Amino acid sequence: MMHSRRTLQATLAAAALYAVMTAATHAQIAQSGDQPPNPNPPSESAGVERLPAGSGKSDVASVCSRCHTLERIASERRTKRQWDALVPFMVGRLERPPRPEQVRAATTYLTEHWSRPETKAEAALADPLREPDAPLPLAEARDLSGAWMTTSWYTLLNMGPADGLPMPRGLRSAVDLKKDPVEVLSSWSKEKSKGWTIYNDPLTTCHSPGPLAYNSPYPFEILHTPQRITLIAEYFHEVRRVWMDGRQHPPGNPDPSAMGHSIGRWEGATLVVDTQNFKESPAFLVPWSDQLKMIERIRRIRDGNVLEIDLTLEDPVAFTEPMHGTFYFKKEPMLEWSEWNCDGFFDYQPFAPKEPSP
Amino acid sequence: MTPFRAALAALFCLGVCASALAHHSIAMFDNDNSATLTGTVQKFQWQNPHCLLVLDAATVTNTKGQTEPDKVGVWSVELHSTAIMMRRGFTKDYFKPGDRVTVTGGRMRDGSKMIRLFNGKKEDGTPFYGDDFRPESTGNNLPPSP
Repeated sequence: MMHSRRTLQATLAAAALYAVMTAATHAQIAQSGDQPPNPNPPSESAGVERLPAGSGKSDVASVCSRCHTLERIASERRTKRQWDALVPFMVGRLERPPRPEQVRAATTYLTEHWSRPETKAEAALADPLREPDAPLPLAEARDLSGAWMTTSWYTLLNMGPADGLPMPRGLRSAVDLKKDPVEVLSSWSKEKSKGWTIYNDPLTTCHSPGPLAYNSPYPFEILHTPQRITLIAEYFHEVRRVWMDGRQHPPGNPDPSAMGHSIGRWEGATLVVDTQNFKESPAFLVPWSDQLKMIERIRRIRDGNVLEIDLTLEDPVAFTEPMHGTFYFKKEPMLEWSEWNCDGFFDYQPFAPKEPSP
Repeated sequence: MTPFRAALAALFCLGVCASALAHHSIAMFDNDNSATLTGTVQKFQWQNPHCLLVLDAATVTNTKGQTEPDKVGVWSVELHSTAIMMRRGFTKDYFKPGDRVTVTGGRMRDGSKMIRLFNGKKEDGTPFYGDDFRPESTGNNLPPSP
């Protein structure tokens, strides 16, 4: 029990999202002085004795243990392809990246000691040299209807590509992929985000997540009707109407809205959606202004079973460079829908929230 | 990395809505400082942003395996939103008042009697999972389809 609990903790603590969020909050809480420090900080070398000796072990210890307990690392077996993708992905997120030879040595060590054979299905799906997907007949390729479940969210939580899909790529500078997105935030954005704390996230008071609605652990649905394609996110019941009848955006942003005004066109089998006329985000972790322009390139891949959304965000007020990311959604023909609303938010008081001191 | 940078990185680098994880943020919970509670269900609230299990804990065990007699009493156990719960096989009646359960989760950093569920067991041994999406737990890395 202790072992599995420990492993689970490590899993969760190490999962990409958690690691960063926790780091943020540790620092935030440490700064606020309002909360006690963590009485059991994770030991950097925890589990090192469980890793077999070998060339590259010290690199794993010095590189990977910056964020993960080694026990966590030793609890997972991945394919060579997954290690090859995962290690550079993780390392790319470090503020002080290790030397390339350290990354290579760590990857080699992990592959040698902690890998498993690739299944045939994984090999077929992940092989970049494989035959491309047989193109769907155009009418089928352009039928995006159905329920699409995020893979990005869960993939990132499990820290590896799911179902042979390429690793989703979160938003990065579109000009320089190495650039951390905070490097392209304008001073306006930084100023606007200053007041954000984990206690006053606008979502807690039912503010719309806006264009990030489908970047959530919830599915969305696409409906085709004459003149338009409609995207309905389960999360917050957000609806986007993508006008396909050739109309333009109303000039001058006359009615700013959380989800913006979307017009779409087909480029072959790719739906290109141009969304503008947003309203300024309330005070989100990620700010955007009413100048935000979002371009999505949406297409079905993997024999039509996966939806790829290639996202570009431009905002001359909030970002100094455009940002870009790629996300994947899996077709879920049997998905059971639920109602996700925020009615309960206002009476969700399981504890007395404490405002961090300013 | 400043908290601001880190927080932004959390959202941008991963391209997921951090707030989706938790509407008052999961970061309030400390995964490295868990508690295991055994006790009786008082009520089960099926609601957003998170379902809540209110538990009268008879024993509280910390990460080191030590019991904490001064912590016994009523605890809140936070689970997922209703939609995720439903797709993972829960219903509003999954827990009933009087059920005996054992649950493990990360503690609130402020010391209040609340955890965010990792996993748990009903009295008959039936396991259930919270923030545990590992394929070996769920059999999949996506919420199960019916």
